Amino acid sequence: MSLVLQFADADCAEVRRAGGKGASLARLAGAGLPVPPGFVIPANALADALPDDGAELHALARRRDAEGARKLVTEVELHPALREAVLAAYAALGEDDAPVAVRSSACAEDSDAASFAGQQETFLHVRGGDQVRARIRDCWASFFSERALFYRAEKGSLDDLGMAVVVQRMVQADAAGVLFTCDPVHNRRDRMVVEAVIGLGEAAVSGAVTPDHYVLRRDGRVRRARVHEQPYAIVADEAGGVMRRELAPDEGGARKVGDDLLAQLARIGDELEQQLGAPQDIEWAVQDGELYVLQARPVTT
Amino acid sequence: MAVTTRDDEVLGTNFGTDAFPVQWREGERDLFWIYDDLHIPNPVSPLFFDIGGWWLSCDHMFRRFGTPFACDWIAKEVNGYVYTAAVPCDPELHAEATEYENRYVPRVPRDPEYAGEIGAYLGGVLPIYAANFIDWWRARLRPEIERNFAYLDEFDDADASLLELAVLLEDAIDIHDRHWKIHWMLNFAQFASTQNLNQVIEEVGGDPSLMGRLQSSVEDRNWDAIEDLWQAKEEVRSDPELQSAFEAATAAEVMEALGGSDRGRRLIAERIESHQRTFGYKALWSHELMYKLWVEDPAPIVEAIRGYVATDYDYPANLRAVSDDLEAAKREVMEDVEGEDRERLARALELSLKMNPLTPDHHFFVDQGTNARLRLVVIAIGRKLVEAGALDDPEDVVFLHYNELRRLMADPRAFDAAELVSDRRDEHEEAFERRAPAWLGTATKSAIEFPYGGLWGFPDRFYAGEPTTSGEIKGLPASPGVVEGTARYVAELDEFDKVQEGDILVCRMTNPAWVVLFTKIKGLVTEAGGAVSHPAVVAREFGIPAVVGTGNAGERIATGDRVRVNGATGVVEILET
Repeated sequence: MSLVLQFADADCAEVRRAGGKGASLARLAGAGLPVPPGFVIPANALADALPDDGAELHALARRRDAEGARKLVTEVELHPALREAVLAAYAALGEDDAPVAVRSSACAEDSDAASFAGQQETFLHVRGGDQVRARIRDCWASFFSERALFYRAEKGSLDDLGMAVVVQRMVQADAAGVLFTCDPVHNRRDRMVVEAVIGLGEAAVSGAVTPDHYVLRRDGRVRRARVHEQPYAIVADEAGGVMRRELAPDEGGARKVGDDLLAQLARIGDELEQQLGAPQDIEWAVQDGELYVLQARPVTT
Repeated sequence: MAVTTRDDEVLGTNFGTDAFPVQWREGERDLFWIYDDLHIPNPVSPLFFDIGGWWLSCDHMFRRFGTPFACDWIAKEVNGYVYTAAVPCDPELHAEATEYENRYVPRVPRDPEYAGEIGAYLGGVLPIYAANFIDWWRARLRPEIERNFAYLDEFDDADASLLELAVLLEDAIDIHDRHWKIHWMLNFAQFASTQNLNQVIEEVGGDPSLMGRLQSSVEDRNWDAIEDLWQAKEEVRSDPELQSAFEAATAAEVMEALGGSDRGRRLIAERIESHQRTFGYKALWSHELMYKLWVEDPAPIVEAIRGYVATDYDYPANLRAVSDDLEAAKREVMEDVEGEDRERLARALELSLKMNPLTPDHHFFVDQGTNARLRLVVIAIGRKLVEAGALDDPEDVVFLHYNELRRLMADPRAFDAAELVSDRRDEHEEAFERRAPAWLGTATKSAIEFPYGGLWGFPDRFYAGEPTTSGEIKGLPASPGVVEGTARYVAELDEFDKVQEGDILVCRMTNPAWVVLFTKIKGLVTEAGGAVSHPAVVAREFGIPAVVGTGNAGERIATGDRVRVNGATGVVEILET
């Protein structure tokens, strides 16, 4: 079996191998959607790369020794083959240390509840092979935090070491947000909803920035636009990581996306909903006029 | 009681503003229109306004009782909101009204002397109702209602044609009309018996402040429903497997967890589904057709049990406390009353106490049970119209007007109903952006003091004026509806017990541990989260207006502030106090 999975690989679409996020990205890429390039370190990679095939890590997890498990995960020498595979896959994403996002991708089904247990880490704008490898280990380590172990002891299994990691080229988003292919608040299938901010979508996640809110007809025509003034944007920091960029009132107070982009989003959303058979919650970003789909999952209403 | 005439002194007028424009028809300006936030605080659906209103049978009530203070009660939809006005018994009055989409002239007596002369009739018959209504109810009226329910509940709508359902709808409308007529008789009978008790207490020198406590009921359908849920809770608490199923994030997930085991499936069959059948003919808002009933979706039952589990609700103790207090009030009111007075008081008290269960029971049978049956017929028609390709969703049907629906039942291709419903749904959402003033039209002294006005807070609300806003916080609309209340900021789980019934919860974010609070609060504001985040999904499940993703609501709203949460526009206003 390959040590890292490409989105185009058949088994990358399996949750068991690539985790929820990884499998979803593989399916999106497979559906022909514009997904930024990336790769997945599969769920079994950590145990396989440990010198004892994970025996000690299993024992630590079963004892709920969070500190011991995390020390092992962050410090142990892994099989060199995995290192080489990660570095090669990373190099293929672009020259000059292309900035990437490194994210946990859990295999457990109730991954929403699991995120409360702090099992889902995300590192944005990571640059350089060593940094990428360190953040992969940080993702693994998060799977063995005290809260995560407590959660799996209660709700899952302590034998579960199934945590994949997704590495994906960062989109230097000029604007980003979420598209719902229905109106989840009013439970309407004849409408779509777009939320949009300037810069990375992360600005809206914390609630610190209230995104613009657009209601679209299914054909993409804007039915209602509610514009919110955005005080700052989250953008990539040249040095790695992200930073805040303050926005002047005329920039932050203007519409974040135009009618054309909204129509394009509606088209992509409609196509994806028809392929997957249920309303979708889609994370998107736009860079230099190019639209990218970052993630999609069924809408829970 | 004062007789309202148009000569009465005018205290104020509101014929509309730019923010809330009103189109007036003949005679409407002269009336005093109250925003019916008591029954229909949210923008009304077209179909409910046409066929579901409580006002439709009021002319019957006023005629039957010979009330001198009003002859009819009419409704007007303004920018989506329902306003109603009592029509005085004034032959000079020429106003327009609408029922079942038809224009009509409210019934006023031709005889100008009517209002002055009919009062003795009312005074004469009220004691008859007071003395006998409970017997009529038990022997005749409640069985009649139950027979009507059985007819509607047993109707096989799945195999019926659209036109057979069209006829069923007319039956449901007739039944609705009849049950609401009974409702008003019951109201007057109850009013007469409490007024009689009040009067006797006053005459024998008793303490009139005991009246409130003497209205308690300890045996009715409301207590039956609570006992049923409490028994479910007792079962859940005694079984760790059931208890762990109830820790899931949403009601749907609880049901899924229960469905995964024999024990859980037994609880669903014996407790949840049986509760749905017996007590489930009700919705979050009774005076509307668009809200799912408990019998259709068990989520509120699951959440009620969850709330009882979390607080270990003690039904027997609660019932005992109410019962003890009622017994104490009965003793106190009889204290030091002797001889013939004592006998008179005992008789009035007995009569009034017998009527107490009618308050919760008439809600169960009429406001909730009857309106719920109307919805089920309408939604059954909606399903047929989806099958016929006329609509996308059975729920769409409430966004049609009565005659549009009838045309569509006759010919599902009569017009583009889906497109019309889309526009109507948009209008309905946009209606939330306007704030409905408490009253419109002409406020005269007697109009604002109309006997029933107290239900809506008049005349005090007239003098208090409209609230003003001192600050506005924008977030994301997460669960439609508008609510005003007292804010309570909660940072940690150990502050949960500070939350009071009816508070508006302000917090950073919620997760499954917070769900116990949702049974208490009436509005929600969070700093984080989006349209499908935990607080948004659960608020919709509970039908609680919610605004999420406000960023800094916790800094700007202090516990104790009066706030207005608009879950349809995503705006939270801080009101001047």
